[in-house]
Amino acid sequence: MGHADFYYKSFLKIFLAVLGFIFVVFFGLIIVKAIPGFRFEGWSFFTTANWIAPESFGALQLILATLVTTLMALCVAVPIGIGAAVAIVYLVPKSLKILVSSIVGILASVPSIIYGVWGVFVIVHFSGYHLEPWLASVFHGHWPATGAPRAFGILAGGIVLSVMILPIVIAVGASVLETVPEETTEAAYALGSTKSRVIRKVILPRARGGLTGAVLLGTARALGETIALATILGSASTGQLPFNLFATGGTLASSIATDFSGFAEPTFEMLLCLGVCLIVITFTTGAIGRNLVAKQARRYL
Amino acid sequence: MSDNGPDGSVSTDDSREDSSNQLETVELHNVTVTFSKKPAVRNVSFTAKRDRVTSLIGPSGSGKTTLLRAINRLHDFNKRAVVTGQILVHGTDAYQMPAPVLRSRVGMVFQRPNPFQTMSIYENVASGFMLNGVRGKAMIDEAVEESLRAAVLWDAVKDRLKQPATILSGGEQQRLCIARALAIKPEVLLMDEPTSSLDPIATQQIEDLIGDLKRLTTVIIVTHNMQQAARVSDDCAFLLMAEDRAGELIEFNTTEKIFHDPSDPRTLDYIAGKFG
Amino acid sequence: MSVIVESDQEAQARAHIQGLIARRFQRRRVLSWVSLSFVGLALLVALFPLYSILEQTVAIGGHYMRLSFFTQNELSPTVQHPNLVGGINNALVGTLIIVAVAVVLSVPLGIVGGIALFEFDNKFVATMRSALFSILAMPSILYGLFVLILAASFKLPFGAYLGSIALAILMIPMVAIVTFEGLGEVPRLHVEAGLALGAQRLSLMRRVMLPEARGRILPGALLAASRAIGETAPVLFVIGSNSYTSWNPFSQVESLPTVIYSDLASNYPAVRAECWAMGLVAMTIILIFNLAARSYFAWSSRELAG
Repeated sequence: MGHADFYYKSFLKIFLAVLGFIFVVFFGLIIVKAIPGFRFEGWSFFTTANWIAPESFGALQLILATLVTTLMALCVAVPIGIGAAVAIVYLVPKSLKILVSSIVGILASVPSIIYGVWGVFVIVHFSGYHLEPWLASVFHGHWPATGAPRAFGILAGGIVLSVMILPIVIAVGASVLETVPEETTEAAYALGSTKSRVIRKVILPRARGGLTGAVLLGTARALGETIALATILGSASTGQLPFNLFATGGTLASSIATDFSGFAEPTFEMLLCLGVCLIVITFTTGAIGRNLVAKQARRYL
Repeated sequence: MSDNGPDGSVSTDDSREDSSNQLETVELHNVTVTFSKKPAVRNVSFTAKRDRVTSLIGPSGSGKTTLLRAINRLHDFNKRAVVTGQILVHGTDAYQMPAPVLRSRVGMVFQRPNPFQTMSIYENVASGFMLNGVRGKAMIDEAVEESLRAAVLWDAVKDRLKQPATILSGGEQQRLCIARALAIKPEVLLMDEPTSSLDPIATQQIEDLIGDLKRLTTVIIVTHNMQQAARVSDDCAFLLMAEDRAGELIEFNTTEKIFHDPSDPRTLDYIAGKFG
Repeated sequence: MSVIVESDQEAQARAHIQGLIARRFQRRRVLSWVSLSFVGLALLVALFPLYSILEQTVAIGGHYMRLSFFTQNELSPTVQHPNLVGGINNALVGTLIIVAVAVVLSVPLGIVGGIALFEFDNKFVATMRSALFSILAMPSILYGLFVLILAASFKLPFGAYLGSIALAILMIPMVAIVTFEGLGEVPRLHVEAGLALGAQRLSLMRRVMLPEARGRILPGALLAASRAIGETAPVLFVIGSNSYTSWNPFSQVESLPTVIYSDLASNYPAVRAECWAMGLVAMTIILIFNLAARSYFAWSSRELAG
């Protein structure tokens, strides 16, 4: 190893150490600065649902809203996303595949703010004028459509979220499906099966781990979506829990955006607490998702 | 037709009515398979007879596998593939019936064992039923046992039927695939170099059971191993790649004749090991 | 040689099973078609939002596409002049400055980081690699929070540079990962040829591997930049606000996404409608970057393949 190489490698090692340090600081700083906030509020942070900055900071409603909107998004994105992924890999003719994949890629690179604009003008409008009144009439004012329709609510938020995470589920799902070895598919066809049966009974079970990973990656995105939901939801100012299609109120992420008003304590620290919650839930879902996708890719006969 | 050697006109030395068995054969008439207009195998005609094992031999690239996969219409999935000529399976044109129906009557065992990894041993063997929407536990149980016995695997796995198929060794997995193909009682069994990825012992075990299989189905086996063809098959088709890289049928005859008294000098060269 | 013939019982069993299989084939085929149609429908539903977004963006935003839109600054409407919205010059320049500084910060650092990850192969490096992937998936508001904390702790004034720092933290993992992957794709043959000629690691990297990895690194950087252009949350609070054009990275600025964000909440319909136009501009820029990245990637893959 020559002279130059020694400096080269040493430089790289130092660089890596610094990079690692920076990323540790990134998470560490947010967590450390949030601790006073947690101490300030105590357990009621997680158990009370009255987030009204700068007076009270019970984040339960936010946590639940995050989960509910994500769940709503998943209800749409899982069947449609996996279905679309199946379509891309097994239905779309080769000549169109590139075009379709490009469209999915473009959808994935649309910035959140654009989804926010579209969400406010198109989805909220649709929800307020058409969807929610219809739901109100279907459920006659009972659960899950109690109360008056409020266009800027979690229903519209859930719809926009589902549109936003679809490209992720589809793109990752399609690449997972491509890894199913051709010999498995051939064996199934050779037994005389029709196409849908081969997909349903052989390919999908085989790809189960990776597809779950794709869904989890979409989930992580939905849990952390800030701007699009901030434009549609605003922050939590009602004390109600979001178990109602017409509910309003913000999520963990959207509230950070809407409630920032300078460094005044304790508001700023409480927002950091929201950030820590975000870190925990997106990190774990994302990590499990990536893990599952990688495991799927590694399996061989 | 004379260039391609005798076509089904050589009889075995027992007396059976040819006419009653005429329908229970696989007949190829002038079968050509082209990929993007380039022929991979050209003008092949022969008849694989029931209760006999027919082998396709020849050096690499002579189109044996391509020809085999035309019989169960696996080329349907390749948009650039065109199959011309006629393939009759037990009297009916294979390309005039719905492909899945044909494939339930023509089973296939592949070069590398490919059991369904998410299914247990039992489920693998029964997968032919599941994928064709047939139910009936008693009947399926019986069929599973029968085919596992035919594949000489029953005793080894009868206590482990619920376990995943991946616990089996390579040779056992291949026999599992054979059982899987046999379970729905196909009329024809195609085997594409079934032992080429196995060790000698496993190879021997499978060669042993092929002889018994011909009783149940018409077996057509592709092998690049001449000795295997000599050991296992009754009739033999020798294919060779022509100058334009298209495979042609050089000679079709009983294995006996091919290996001891071939009509074509090129067959003799191959048998004698000059190439391949 | 006697031939063992299949017994009648066996022939019967076969006919029975084959019959069962053939019996409901038509139904299975129809069901297959139906379920596959649903699957195709799912694809159409999934792709529809792009049509809706593009349609609205172009239809409404298209009206604003005059030169003055790009050269004028943002104006505030009043009750007397409710349609006085002005242009996007300050937002455009602001975005340009923020992203340019972010690129200057993140691309070199990202490339070096990718090289560093590539040259070593131990536990620490492996952890760093997976850490990078997880950082990529973090909600972007966290980058904004981090920079906010920095600004609070060091009493830093708000300005474009803070937004650049936040975006750089977002971009560095992206660039590092494509660098790492690009270096991994350099064929062993080329590496060994270089070593055989007596090259040391550093010059090997500089002269052989990095140039060959260019086909991955450049598009990756372009994609990272295009992502940075569209990001709102990391820059929203730290860049301040400014309705005048400023080319100074230390001054307060506005970016296209932040202007859209605040305009959406405006009471004036004219201001709100302008969001479509700004969205059109932003999406066009992002699409151009994406296309450039893809084309370069395709071109260089072809070059390498020879």
